[in-house]
Amino acid sequence: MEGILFVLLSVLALGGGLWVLLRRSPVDSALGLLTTMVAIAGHYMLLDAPFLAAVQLIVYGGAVIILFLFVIMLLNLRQDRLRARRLAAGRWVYALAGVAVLFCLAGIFLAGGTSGAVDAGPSGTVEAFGEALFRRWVYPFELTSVLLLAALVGAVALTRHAAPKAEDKA
Amino acid sequence: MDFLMGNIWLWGPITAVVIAAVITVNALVSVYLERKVSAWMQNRLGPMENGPQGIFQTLIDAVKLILKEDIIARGIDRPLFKMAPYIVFGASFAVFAVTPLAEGVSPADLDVGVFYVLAISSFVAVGIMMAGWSSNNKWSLYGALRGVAQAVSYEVPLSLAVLTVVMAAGSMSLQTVCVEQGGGFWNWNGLALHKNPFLVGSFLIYFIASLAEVNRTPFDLPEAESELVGGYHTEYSGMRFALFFLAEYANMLAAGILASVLFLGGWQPLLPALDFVPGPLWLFGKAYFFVVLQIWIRMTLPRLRVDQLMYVCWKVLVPGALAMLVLGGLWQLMIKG
Repeated sequence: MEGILFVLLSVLALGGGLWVLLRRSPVDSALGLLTTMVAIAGHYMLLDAPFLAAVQLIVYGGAVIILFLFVIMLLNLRQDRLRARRLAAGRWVYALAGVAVLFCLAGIFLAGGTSGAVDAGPSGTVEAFGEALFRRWVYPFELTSVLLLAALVGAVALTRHAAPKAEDKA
Repeated sequence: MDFLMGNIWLWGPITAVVIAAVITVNALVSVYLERKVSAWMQNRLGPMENGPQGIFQTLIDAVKLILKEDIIARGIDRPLFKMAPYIVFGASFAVFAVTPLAEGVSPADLDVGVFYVLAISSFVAVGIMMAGWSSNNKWSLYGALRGVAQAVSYEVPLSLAVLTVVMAAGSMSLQTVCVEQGGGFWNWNGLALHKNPFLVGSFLIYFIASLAEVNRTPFDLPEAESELVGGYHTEYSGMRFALFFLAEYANMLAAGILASVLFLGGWQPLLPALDFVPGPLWLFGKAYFFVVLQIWIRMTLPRLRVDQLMYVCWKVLVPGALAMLVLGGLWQLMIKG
C-alpha cells in the first residue's frame, strides 16, 4: 500500500516538475509547481510527519498562489513570446548556468552527504519538530530569519529607489 | 465503533459520504436561513410558496440547479475551468475530516488538526484563482485577484489568533482543545477571562478574519455583485456553479465549527448538568449560531473598499493578533506557570 502511494506521489512530483519546465504558459508552470508541492506533502505524510506535511501545504501552497498573482499581474502574457525568443538567443549561457548549478548540487551531495539532514526524532510530531528546531538548530534557524529579513529590506530598498525616478521623469 | 474506526477502508468511505451529506443539507438549511433571516430583518416574509413557511424552496432551487445546462464558453482555458470547482469543493470538503463530534469521536483526530484545517482551506484560494483566470473574463479575473489577495492577507491574523488557543491548550488536536474547555461555559476559551483573558481578543480577531476568509460581507469583494457581476464564478452555470455554491456554504459552516471548537468549547455542554444532550448537537448548535451571526452581519454592514480591506488586515488585525499572542503567551508563562 505504502509502496504504491510512494510511486504514485513520486510520479506526480516528478511529472509536476517536468510540467513546470516544459510548458510555455507561466500559469501552467505554476500549476505544475503546485502539483509537485502537494505530492511532496504526501511524501511527508508517508514518512509519518503530518506537521511537516501541513507546513509544506501552507507555505508552498500559499507561495504558489502568490506566484500566480505575479504571473497574472506583472507578466504581460503577450510579451511572453518575446521573452521566449530572447531566451533562445542566449541559450548557451543558460545551459552553462544550469550545468554549474547541477555541479554545485552534486558537490554538496558528494561532500556533505545527508549529514546536514535534521533527524526529527522517532516520529515527526510537533513536539519532536519543535525540539529539533528550537534547541539543537536554533542558531541556524534564527540566522535564516535574518537572511529573509535582509531579502525583505533589499526588496523594499530596490522599489524605493525606483519610485522617485519615475516621478522625476513625470 | 472501535472496529469501524480501526479499519480505514470502512471508516474512510463512510465518513466521506456522511460529510458530503452534511455539506449538502447544510447548504439547503443555510440558504433557507439566509433568506428567512434577511427577510425578517427587512420586515419581509421571505420564501413562502413551497411548503409551510416556504421550507421546500431551497430544495426546489437545488433541483433547478442540477437540471440547468452546464454552459462552457469559448475562449476559456478548458481543463482549468473544469477542474476549478472541484478543487474549491474538495478543499472545503476535506476541512470537515477533523471535526470533533463528541469526546473521542471525530472522523480523524489528527495530531496537527488545527494546522491541517489551515493548510487545506488555503487551497480554496487556488481553486478561486484557477476559476477566475481560466474564465478569460475581466469580472472573473478581478474577483479572483481580490479573493486571493484577501485570503492570503487574512490568513495571517487568523493563524495568529488560532495560535493563541493552541498555546493555551498545549495541543493542535481539535479534540484536546475541546477537552481543555470542559466544565461549563465559563471555561470556554472565548469567555474565560480567568483562564487567559487575551483569548477573548483572539476570539474577536479570529471571527473578523474568518468572515474575510469565507468571503462574507463586509468582506465579500471577490463576488461583489454590484461591481463584478458574480466575481470569479461569473462564467459558471449548472452543476459547476452549484459546487461553488455548496463550497461557500460549507466554508461558512466550517468557519463556525472551528470558531466553536476553538473558542466556545466545541461539543462541551453549556453547563455540566446538561451533559445528557449529545455532543454533536452542541457543536452544530454553536456552529449555526455563527452562521446566523454571519447572515446578521451581512444584513447590517456595507461592503468595505479594497484599501479599507487591506488597512483592516495589516494595520489593525495583524498587530492586534500579535499583541494577543505575546501577551497570552506571557500570561501562560507567568500566571499559570
